[in-house]
Amino acid sequence: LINNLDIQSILNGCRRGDVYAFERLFDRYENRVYDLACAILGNAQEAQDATQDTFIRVLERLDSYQGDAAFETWLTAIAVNCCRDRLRRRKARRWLSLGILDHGAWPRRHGREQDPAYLAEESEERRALWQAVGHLDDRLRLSFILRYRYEMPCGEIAKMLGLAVNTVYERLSQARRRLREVLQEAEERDADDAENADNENNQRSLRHLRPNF
Amino acid sequence: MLTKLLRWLSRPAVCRMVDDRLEAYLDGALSPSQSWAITAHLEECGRCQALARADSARLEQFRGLGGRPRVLSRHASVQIRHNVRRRLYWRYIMQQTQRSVQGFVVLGLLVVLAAGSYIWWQQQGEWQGAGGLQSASDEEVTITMAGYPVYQVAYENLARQFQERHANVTIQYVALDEQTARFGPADLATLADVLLLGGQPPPEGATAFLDLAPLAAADLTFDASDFWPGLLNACRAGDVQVGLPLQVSASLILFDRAAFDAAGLAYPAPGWGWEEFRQAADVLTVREGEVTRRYGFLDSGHSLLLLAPFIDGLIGRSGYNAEQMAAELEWYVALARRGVMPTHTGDRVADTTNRDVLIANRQAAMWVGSQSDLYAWRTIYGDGLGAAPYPGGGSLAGSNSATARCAFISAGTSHPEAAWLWLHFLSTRPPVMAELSPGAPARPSVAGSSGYWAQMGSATAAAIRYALERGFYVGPAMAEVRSVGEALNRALSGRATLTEALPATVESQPVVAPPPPATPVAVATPKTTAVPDEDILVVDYYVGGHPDAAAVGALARAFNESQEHIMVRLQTAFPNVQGGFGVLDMADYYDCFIWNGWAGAYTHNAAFTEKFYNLDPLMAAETAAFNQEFDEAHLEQNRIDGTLYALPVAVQPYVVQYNADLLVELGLAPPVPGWTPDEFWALAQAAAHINGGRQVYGFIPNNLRSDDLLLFVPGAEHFIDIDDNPPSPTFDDPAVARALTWLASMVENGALLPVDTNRSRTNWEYDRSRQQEQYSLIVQGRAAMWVHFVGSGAGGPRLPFNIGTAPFPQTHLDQVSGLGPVPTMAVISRRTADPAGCWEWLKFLSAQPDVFSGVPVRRSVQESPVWRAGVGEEAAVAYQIMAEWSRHSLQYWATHPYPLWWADALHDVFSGSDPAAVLQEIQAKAEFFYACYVRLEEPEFEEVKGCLLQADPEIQRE
Repeated sequence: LINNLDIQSILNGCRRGDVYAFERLFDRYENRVYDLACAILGNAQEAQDATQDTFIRVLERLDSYQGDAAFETWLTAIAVNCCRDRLRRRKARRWLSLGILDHGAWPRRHGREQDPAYLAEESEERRALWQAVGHLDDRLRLSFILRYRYEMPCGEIAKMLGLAVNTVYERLSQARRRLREVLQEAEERDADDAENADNENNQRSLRHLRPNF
Repeated sequence: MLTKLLRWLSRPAVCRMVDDRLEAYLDGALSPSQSWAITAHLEECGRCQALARADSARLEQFRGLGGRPRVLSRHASVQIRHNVRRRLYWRYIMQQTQRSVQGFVVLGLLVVLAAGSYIWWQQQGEWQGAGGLQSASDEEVTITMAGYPVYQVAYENLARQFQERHANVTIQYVALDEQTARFGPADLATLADVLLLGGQPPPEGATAFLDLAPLAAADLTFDASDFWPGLLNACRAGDVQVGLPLQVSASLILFDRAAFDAAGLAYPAPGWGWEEFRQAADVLTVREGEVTRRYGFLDSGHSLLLLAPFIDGLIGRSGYNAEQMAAELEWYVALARRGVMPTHTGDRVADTTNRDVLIANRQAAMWVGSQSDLYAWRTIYGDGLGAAPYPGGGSLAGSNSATARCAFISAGTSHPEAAWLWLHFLSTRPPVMAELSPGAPARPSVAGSSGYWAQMGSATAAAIRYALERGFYVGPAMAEVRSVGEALNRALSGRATLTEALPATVESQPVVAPPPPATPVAVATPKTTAVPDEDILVVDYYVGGHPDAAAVGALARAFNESQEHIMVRLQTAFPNVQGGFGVLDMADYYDCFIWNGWAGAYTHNAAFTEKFYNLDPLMAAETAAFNQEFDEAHLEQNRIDGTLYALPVAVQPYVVQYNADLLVELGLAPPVPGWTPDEFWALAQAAAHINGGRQVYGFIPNNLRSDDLLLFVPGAEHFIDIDDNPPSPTFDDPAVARALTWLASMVENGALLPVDTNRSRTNWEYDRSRQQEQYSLIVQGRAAMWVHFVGSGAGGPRLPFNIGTAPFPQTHLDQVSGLGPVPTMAVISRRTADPAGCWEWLKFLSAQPDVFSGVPVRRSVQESPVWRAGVGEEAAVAYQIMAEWSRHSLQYWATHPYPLWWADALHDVFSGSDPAAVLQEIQAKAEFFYACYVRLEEPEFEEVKGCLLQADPEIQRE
């Protein structure tokens, strides 16, 4: 309750144009929004831009927020929509540009022999999982991230994305199947690589895992 | 793909249904009958059961396992907040206005409040200051301002702040080139409306520049009382107020604290008198027989800064009288006569050089210097350098010389009001890029609010403030003062007595004829080409990585003229951000730039590949000849997982330098490339000797990275195994103990200056004052050889003897340590829409012999007569050999602490400890650290430091 009262007073301050309230709003939520944007967009620069869009939109629409949903939910919905706008624009841009230089946009996995920091088995697995999520197409990835990274209920995700609940479930199961394939492929390839420990082959197999958007 | 699809379709429909609805089933979101059907199927179908179990286990792994949440950098956060505030502000004001309008008065009030609060909103947390808030008119106006290229970005940033208040005034910067920078006032005034130049106006300024007095009088927000006393007058030409001061630099008495300590004297402080000054100069002078070891005072050469206020005051009070003048100044000439101050040669350049050499050799206790000198000499003296105002200030106004930097409005401007607004605004801001020209803000209020005083020690701040409160810029009797100055210089060189030298009468300044009717040449209209065309690629290039931005500016102009579709704009500053900036942040601001480092160092940082372009396609499109210009090792350094992310352009190697005059004097042959460690030490030992009771050392190593000493030891082995990753410690290798013993014996016979670190560390590095001491030994001729970093040429005063250059002696050891050459890479940020423009520019730059610090890497440049002649043939050979060493520093682990322990070992062994025992202890620490380190998942600096502190708690003492 205290938290809730607190956010109400911050929001009221923002409505009045109180610069301190504005700073507190940022202090509290900017990293949450940024983290979400990074997860959806997979690019730090774009995530920063999306964070900026989100706060502009939040402050512009503050009057329309009546406290009917938790503020975090409302904020997250706006953030997700800002990110979706960017994904749409990105798609349009890709059609327009040849993008010959745009290799390696996705964070890479490093050869184990190069980086002892990544030796810990559990963490390697975790990284591989999230990297595979990065290869899902936008539609599927969005639902998946909201459901599993942020553990949001499917009903809320549906409302946020303007979809039927069933559609969200469909997308989650499609995402799961796609991940299953991707991870199996990667495992098979890793097994092959282990046999002939050839670095170049390794590169090729990882390149295969490049995002398809 | 097809086989997968077939496999999927071949499964029974009910299995596919179960797979489709697994999430809904696990969530309990299905109807009871659907749910029951799935439960039943899973019980009977082993295949679906296994699949569902594996999938749900995998999904569980995903839950909440987002990894470390991403956090915005401080810089990005500030930037976003700023942008959001800016975007929303007017919307907010309009809403408020619509709601509250009850009458015209309220609206008017709100607009006024809005203007005020907008500024407050924008400036929140940043520097706040006044500014000319009046608006010239609503007409759209473009004002040009001319200044040096290096200030362009800084002034453009200020212009943006200005335009937030004066939306109808656009400011356009005109960068001076080599030719226009030499223009006189009249020609300069044709270039732009506002002229941002260093220094005070010459008399011709009276007609070339606009009289600002009427504009100032009409501006009610202009506070003329908020300038340092007398400073406004410094921007007058004759009787005309042609400029506004933006910055001021005080002339000071700089002093060597150690000299005062040794003499048991208190440091000079504001309020000291001439008598105190004279006595201190006497006491501080140290002689040994005929030789002066230290002068009590060095005057300002030929510029007469110290005495000008005094002489001006004397003439002003009682007119010029040669007899009286001689009596008043005789004591000063006597300083030179009795050797407290060196006599002048009469040659201005020679006198200045002698002065600098004496100061560099710590052979001066006090001297006259500007605020720039204060920063320059800190590089040798560190905190041992003190500053005091001139003596005899007391309640006297105008008793301490200072110089002003003024800005002017061209007499030919068509927009005097708008130009005034801009000039007035600038005078309320801290000076731009004060690191280039140190000096205080022209307004005391700005100095206070911008944190200017906090950047320096309180004693220095007090000295500067005291001096500026009594600033002397130009007196009423300057012509007379100049004549007296010439006489004084003759007397100081001993060619005449002061009485003989002083003229019987002096000409006062001729009355300046009233300026001719102003028919100034109109200011050139703003160039429209500055607004880039649609089909011109604008390349924002950060030029700060170059030692000489002006040289790059000249190249950029030549390049832009040769290119139809590319326009390079040089940028020099980070906007609104202080400290803590890395190459990744730079990518957000600039399209391309050079940076010290190599792309391979960022192999484990995914952000690097996200922010910079892969250059392989660009390289591949170039000719084979271009590709062969680069050493494969240099390219390899800049690859990440086999992909080229940066173009190598230069390396800054370390070399051995030697005192060529000393070797000739001792009859020793200079080193030749290919020499061995044994030959190296033979020379060091032969050169070591005692001279005048003081040790002359054979070799002074680089104290900051003492691990490199191993490279010089015959038959040494590394104390780390660099084939391991991360490198593992081998301090217990007997070869390491042998090397330590060898080095200790070299210290004993004077061939090696002991690397005494006192085990004091700051931020994992050693006390830099040790480096200054070593530099001082070199300057004094007390070293035959030393390690030199081939960086940017500027590095304090020149050495007063001939030097030679040699590569390191040949060693079987790989180069893995901190003295590896520092590469410079050029990168292209993904911020830019089309990297081709950047690429063309970088290619062009990489072919230049003299724009980078260190050695250009392209083979054709290294072989070019221009480059070889520029550095000298002997140095060129040594540089090339040492530049090649970069191939060995690939594996260097930047964060590992082994050099720290090696330095500890040197310290302990040089103080007499047993090498074997010392190394055993260190090996244990290092093994502990290694074991801790490899457990880190993604090593962050703090975590690595944590491991280090556990391994070696003593390090905490920093």
